[in-house]
Amino acid sequence: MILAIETSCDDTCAAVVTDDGEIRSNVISSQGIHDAYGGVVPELAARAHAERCDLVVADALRTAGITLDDVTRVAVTRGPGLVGALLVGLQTAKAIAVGRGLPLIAVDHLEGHLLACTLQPVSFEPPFVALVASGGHTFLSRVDDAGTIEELGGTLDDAAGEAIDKGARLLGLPYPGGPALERLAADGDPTAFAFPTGAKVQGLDCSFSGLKTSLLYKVRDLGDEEASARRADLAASYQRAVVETLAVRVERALRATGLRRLAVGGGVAANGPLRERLRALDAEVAIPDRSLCTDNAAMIAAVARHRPALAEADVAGLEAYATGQRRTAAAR
Amino acid sequence: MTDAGPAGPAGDAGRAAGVGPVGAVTLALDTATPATVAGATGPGGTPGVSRIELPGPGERPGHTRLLLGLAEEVLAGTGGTWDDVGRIVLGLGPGTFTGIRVGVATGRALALSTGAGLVGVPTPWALAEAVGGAGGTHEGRPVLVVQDARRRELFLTLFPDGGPGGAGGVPGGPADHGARADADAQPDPIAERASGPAPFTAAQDDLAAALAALSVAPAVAVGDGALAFADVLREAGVEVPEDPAAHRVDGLALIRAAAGRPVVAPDLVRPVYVRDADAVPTADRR
Ligand SMILES: [Zn+2]
Repeated sequence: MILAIETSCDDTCAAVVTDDGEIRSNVISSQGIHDAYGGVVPELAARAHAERCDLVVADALRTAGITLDDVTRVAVTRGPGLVGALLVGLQTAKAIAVGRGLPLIAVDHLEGHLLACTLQPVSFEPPFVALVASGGHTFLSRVDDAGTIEELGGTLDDAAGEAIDKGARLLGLPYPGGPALERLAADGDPTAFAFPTGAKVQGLDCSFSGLKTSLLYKVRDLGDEEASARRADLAASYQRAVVETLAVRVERALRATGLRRLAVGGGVAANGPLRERLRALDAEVAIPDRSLCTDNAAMIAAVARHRPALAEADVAGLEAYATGQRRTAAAR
Repeated sequence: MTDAGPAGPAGDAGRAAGVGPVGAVTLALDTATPATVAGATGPGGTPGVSRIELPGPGERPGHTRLLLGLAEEVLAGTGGTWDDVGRIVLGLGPGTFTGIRVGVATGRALALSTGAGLVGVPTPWALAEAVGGAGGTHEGRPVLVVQDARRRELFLTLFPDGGPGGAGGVPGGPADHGARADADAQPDPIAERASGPAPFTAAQDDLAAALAALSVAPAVAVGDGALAFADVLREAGVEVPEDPAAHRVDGLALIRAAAGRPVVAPDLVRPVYVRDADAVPTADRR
């Protein structure tokens, strides 16, 4: 039985997952304190984690109907993320591992998103191409049989979720923008405006900064009254551009790798039109439940199933990383 | 007090009280200052073990890297194992925000994994206890703890009667988390200050004025801020010990400072930040 902890951003998460990938509990404690600031405030996130991380762990154990005596391994997100936030989960996991003499597995958060679909009941096993799109990250990877990961491409600037949030803000919608934009777009015409998708730019990288600027100019050109009257059309067209930007790269990645298997993860995978567009591709497509797409600890356990534990002597001194170690970790 | 909050996830009052052969070890941790501090005392009369690691010049504190290793060392020094830990005393700060969170997260998770009872006290209590508590060089005399709070500020904590531990603590004092069980989710620094020796901030440039405004004239001042501003303090007639060790947190002094304090539910053991967070969202920092 794997106990996993994830605190890289603003959700305090703990989960219990069996060695077979069955989720026994997946507790996500959303802080709900950042919306008023229009984004995650790192210090507030870290404070909230420190107040509840052990309680969330206890909740995950209780929900799974087990005690620490039943846990055989502990897994934790080591990075990337907000360091102050990561440290709370990291110290919690280390203390439980040290206090109980349990093996500890240090997990990369992004690998968690890549492998979330390997958990039951989806049980979608590699090899596959994976798209991870969230508020913090957007990239395409190839995951092979052994679970090794090769990054194929990614955003050159904003993450897809960030682009959606910024677009939503330009249209006067509250933070977080994703659900609000999707609701507004449902009443609009996605072909009303032609926003750039970079379809002519070769390769598997993408960019969202031009799209955001394009919306800004469009709103300005239309003038307040007209822009406000056509908000739903603007939202639908903007959302379509984000979806197309991603879908075009996914199609290319499937072609380039010869794989007809696609896994999708990250918070943006909850977007309805994106799910529809990707499901229509000529490939076997796995998109896990929303609770496994947004940040969660079960996906950290999913990675731990495929990774060795740290040497016992390295557990107490384990440190977090904010950025930049994923390629190295994947190359291991 | 112990029944003021919900029972801890691993709560076991008999064991948490630290009575009997099981749970006879008390472990103390503090990461509020640049030092990483651990201390432990064994069953009755066994000498305590204390360890401190300081960052080298220009180095960042090694709290994350060092704390659990030091905890294991002092625990081994008592001859005990994790199964023997019955009480965990945490220094709650103030200090660096990240530092005190590392200590609190570690301590609360150790309590969860071992079933030990948790006690939290502000870090300056340990500094005051070492010099003003029983057997200290200034036993029973007024102690001022002065800590570097960065941003050209200091954290000041006044102990009119010397150390907090020997006197059995101050009823309703800042570490009296049980009394705050019904209060707002966020600790209120102002309320803490009013109810006992709790830390408050003063501008570095205003230290002399802050000293003059204290209700009791301190006999001695300790802490990294006391060392840095020794001239101002001595000018005001406050003794500042030459021994650098007097200005560092000691794990065994932390245990003594918490003597007699009741075990509380883990969710009531929270960092003492004193200062609010700067609320700048990540998106606006890029
Ligand atoms: Zn994520």
